Amino acid sequence: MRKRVIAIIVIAATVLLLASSAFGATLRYGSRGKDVTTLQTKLKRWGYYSGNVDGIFGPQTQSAVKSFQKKNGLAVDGMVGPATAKALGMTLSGSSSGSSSGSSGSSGSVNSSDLNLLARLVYGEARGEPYKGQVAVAAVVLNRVKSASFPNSIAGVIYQSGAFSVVADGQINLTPNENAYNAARDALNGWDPTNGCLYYYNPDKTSNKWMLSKPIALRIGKHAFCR
Amino acid sequence: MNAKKTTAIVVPLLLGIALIGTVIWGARAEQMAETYKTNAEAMYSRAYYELADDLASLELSLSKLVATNSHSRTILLLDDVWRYSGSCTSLLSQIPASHTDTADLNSFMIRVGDYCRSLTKKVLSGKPFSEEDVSQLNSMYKECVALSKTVSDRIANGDMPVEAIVSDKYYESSDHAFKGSDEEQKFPTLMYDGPFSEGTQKAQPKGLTGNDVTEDEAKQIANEFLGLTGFTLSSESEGTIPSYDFVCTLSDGRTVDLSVSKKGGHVVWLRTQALSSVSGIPDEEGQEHFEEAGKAFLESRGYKDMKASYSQYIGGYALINYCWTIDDAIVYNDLVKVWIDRESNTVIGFDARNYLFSHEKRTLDEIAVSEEEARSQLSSDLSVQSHRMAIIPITPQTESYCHEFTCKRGDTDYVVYICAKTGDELEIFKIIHTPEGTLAE
Repeated sequence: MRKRVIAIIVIAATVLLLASSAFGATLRYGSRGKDVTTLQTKLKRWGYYSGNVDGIFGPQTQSAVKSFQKKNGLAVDGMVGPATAKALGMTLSGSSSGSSSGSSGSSGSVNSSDLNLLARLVYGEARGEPYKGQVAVAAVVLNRVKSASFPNSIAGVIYQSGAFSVVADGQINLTPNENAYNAARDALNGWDPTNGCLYYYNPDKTSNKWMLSKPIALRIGKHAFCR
Repeated sequence: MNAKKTTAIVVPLLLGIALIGTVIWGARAEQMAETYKTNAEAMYSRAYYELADDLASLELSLSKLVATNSHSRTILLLDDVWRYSGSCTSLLSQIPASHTDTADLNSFMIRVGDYCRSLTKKVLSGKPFSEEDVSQLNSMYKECVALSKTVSDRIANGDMPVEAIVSDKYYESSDHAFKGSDEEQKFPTLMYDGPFSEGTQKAQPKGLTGNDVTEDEAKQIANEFLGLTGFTLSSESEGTIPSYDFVCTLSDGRTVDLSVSKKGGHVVWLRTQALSSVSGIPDEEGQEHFEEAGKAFLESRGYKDMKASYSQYIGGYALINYCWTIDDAIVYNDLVKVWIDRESNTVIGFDARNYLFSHEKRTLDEIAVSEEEARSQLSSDLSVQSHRMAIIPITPQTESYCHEFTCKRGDTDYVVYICAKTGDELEIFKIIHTPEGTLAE
């Protein structure tokens, strides 16, 4: 008898917990995970939080969030919903862990926002690829800018609807690493390992007939490049 | 007994609350998604309506262009067409459509603007439209009338694309493709000289001389270029310069990639990582030191008469642009880039694509306009710092022999090019000083 009661209470508690974690889009007391770590790091950097960055949303984190909200004219509820997240420069979906703010150590060079965007694309699309493959991805973007059949700017090419999956799934908002920046820079300096290619795809992941019918100019790592 | 009753009430109550909570959350999430979807559709619709507007303006400008007889009106209208075509191209990139549906229209749109820009330069230099120009303007006009109608019809039928394109759909054709209006449903081909013209996009490399080499011969060339022995073939690439791509691992673990052209066995490019991490622009002596090192490397590899132009100093290396010179005139198109590691002074990068595309024998024209006369053409605001002769690209297929004046206006540096034949100011660049070097734009 008692066992049944305990079992039912455990089930009820689990359902409640699941339901509350389904409110996942908002960070609140009891939340855990990468988003909370990011939150704590930011609040610590700005002086609102002095506890440990442990990914657990406890009372200290909650009061830090409240201080931040008070200082920034937001509703002081101790929870990080869309408005507070925006003010913090965070995105709360599970897929992205970085903010999309501009690079801080950027040089005074003319194309720094283009460099930044190109680096983010390279990181999203090709971070596991050999260095030459990363430059090749950036080179394809630049070749498209020069081509008459694609938009006329780096942002236009990258953000064209459907062109790059990392734009649709948000990976383009991840913070790129040193390699990705170097690859983007080398491509902007004219290095084109693909020799003029406009398309690339992963043969293991594509079943699109149009793409597969194009003659392959070369392969680098997991990508096949076409003109 | 009581405990059982309490449990019988409490547990369903808790479950009920959890369920209601989940439903409320679900409804809120759905509402937010709906809001975002509507916002996105609104943006796509806006772009489509604006495209209709700009196509109508484009059509109107072209209709006047083919009818006017006034020199100045022609220039203004050509400018309008250039502006509207640029706007249409930008709007086209904002509309969700597959690449296969829009590629041809995109090319046509860009070329309309590009072509009219080149016509403006033609008219401003005093040349009249050729018969081919007149005929092409007429066919452009006809095509834009048809396009404008297509887009406004689709709007009238509520047929605007508002679905974001996902993954493979980007390469799928639909019945919303934009097609040309001739029998083969193609857009008119425009023959002219500009950065996006068909002629330029299909240009063949002029400097790629020599006979075809075999893979073994190419490997030999790769090894000798850097004094290594370990290059192996990683791929063959059939791009604009078909080549053998080699790779080699150095003793410190770095990979070296090097590409040798099939025709003539020219090293097209090579790259490896820098070991140094020195940053910042070196002093003049330091800059000269790197420029000399690069020049010596080029000479030993058969690139004679090269002179350093612009350089950048980032990430542990010096990236120096070298241009070919003829009789002291610097030829900017015949460009080779060399990357030099700042600590070991070894060459870690090389790129000769521009040179291979553009290099050919040239004979210099007589200088009809002397340096003094040319100098007098400059704006009186500019104070000249230095002078030399140069050959600069005017269009992708033409060059001009010019006086190059480096000038100062207040705090800003400029480079101005005065044609050595006509005395016209052909080009003006601003020199941009960055913490990593100088560029001209």
